[in-house]
Amino acid sequence: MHRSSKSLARLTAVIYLHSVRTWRYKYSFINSSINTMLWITIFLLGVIMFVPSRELPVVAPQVFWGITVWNIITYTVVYISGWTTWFLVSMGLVEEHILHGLDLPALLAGRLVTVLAESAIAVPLVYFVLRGVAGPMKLVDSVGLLFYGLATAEAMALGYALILATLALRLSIPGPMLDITNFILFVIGGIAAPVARLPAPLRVVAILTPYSHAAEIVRYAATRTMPYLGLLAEVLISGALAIAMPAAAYIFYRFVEKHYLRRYGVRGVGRM
Amino acid sequence: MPSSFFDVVAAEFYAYTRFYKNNRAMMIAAFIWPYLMVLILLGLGYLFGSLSQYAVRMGVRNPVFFIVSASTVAMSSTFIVDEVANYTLYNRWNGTLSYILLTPMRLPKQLLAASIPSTLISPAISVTSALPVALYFEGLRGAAIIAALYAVIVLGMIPLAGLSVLIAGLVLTVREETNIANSITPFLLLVSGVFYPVAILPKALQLIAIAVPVKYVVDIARAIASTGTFSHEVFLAIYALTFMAFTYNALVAPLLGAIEEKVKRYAPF
Repeated sequence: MHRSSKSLARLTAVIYLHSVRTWRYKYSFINSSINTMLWITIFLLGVIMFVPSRELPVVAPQVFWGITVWNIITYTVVYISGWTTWFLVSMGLVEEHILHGLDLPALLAGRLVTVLAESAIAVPLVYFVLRGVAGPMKLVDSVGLLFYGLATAEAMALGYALILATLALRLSIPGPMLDITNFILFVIGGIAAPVARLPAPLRVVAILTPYSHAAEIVRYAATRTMPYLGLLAEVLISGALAIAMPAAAYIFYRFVEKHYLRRYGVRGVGRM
Repeated sequence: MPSSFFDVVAAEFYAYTRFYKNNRAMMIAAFIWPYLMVLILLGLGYLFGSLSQYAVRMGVRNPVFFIVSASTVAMSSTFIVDEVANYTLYNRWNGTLSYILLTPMRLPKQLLAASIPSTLISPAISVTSALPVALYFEGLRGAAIIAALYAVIVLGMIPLAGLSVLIAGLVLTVREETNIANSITPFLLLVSGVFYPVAILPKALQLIAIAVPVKYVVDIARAIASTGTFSHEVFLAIYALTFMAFTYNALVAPLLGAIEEKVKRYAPF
């Protein structure tokens, strides 16, 4: 078979596998979407209590998109690195895939099917709840830029999740538990709030946080909040990171597979 | 000699404490989690608004102490609902559910006995993690408030005991990979107004909240975290919880036999 058609067949197989799996566990999937929506709503309603009523129409869309970007990032990390530990490792499927010459990162990347489907259900539900509390609001100004910002955030999260998943194959710690920066970076890393709104020392942290660049584009696309580094700079940085992070993760996995997994095997931690 | 209810409680207590002894990282995570919730809420609140605004709208004297207490309630007050379902799922994944079902003890009794240690220990870890903040802001009075909070959280879980067994049975019979009912927990917290007043919710949710035990736990937490005393409102909430403990479990009891039969027929496979 031609190399490109072989790759296409594998890609189709991965997407098919994860689509079927999501359908097979449809109640878990629906429950998880509702669960996500409810937890986000609890926090959103809590945050609204801090904001004076007259500022809500301006602040609510910014909070909404900040939480949406974080939700996509978090679930990408949990669904990829967590699934690696709690499903692939527990079931002994890692060695099986390596022995058959199958591409583990591609299999893991297929989890994006479930992540995106879940976000597609949860995010609109959160919007309806927020609209009920904060009133009608304009959420999108530029669809193209919004899509670009969300897509680059997703690509960065994929790269990060694959790195954690690879580490989890050799450490006795599940992938999501390695993600210790998740909550901290959400608040101080320019994801939740515009970088310009952060105190001066935290702006440096935010600029160094890859996701903040994608979040700045999303905020601009939604509310015309000008990014701290300027729109063009953010578009270029986000694009570069969206390519570099998954590529680095792939190279890292290949290194670990060659030097550790094939020599010493997987270090499983089982179900917790 | 068949095992008694207390034998199972003792065995599960041993298993649960060994789990934490052998997973210290999990223990540390359990201590840190309420603070992560606090960090998100306070961080976003600070970036988009102000603490004084929150204090005024919530009617609390010390918003930081209140948010720490509320996070502890959010982490623990519905713990039993997920715990019983997760216990059964965990045993099915491990292949030990069949053995549990074969023991002479009735399944609902077995599940309740198994969940008691974790239901007592896990909230204890959560409230202990809030202790440094309580001592810092309120001194010894803060420690007394935290101790009272623990008692109220445990009391608030008693009305949910029967419901927890029903949910565990449902989760087993649908044969999915995760707890398909775990969105019940955030729903109970949502209508209880853990970080905000229930009055901002739609009318329908406010009506549902009246029947939800967690709402009264939140009311008590808010009252004792703001005044530090057991006011008239606190005693009314305790009466409501006691009433619900009897009524809800009595309502659920007749259904438990049917769910046990269904689980024994389908669940282990």
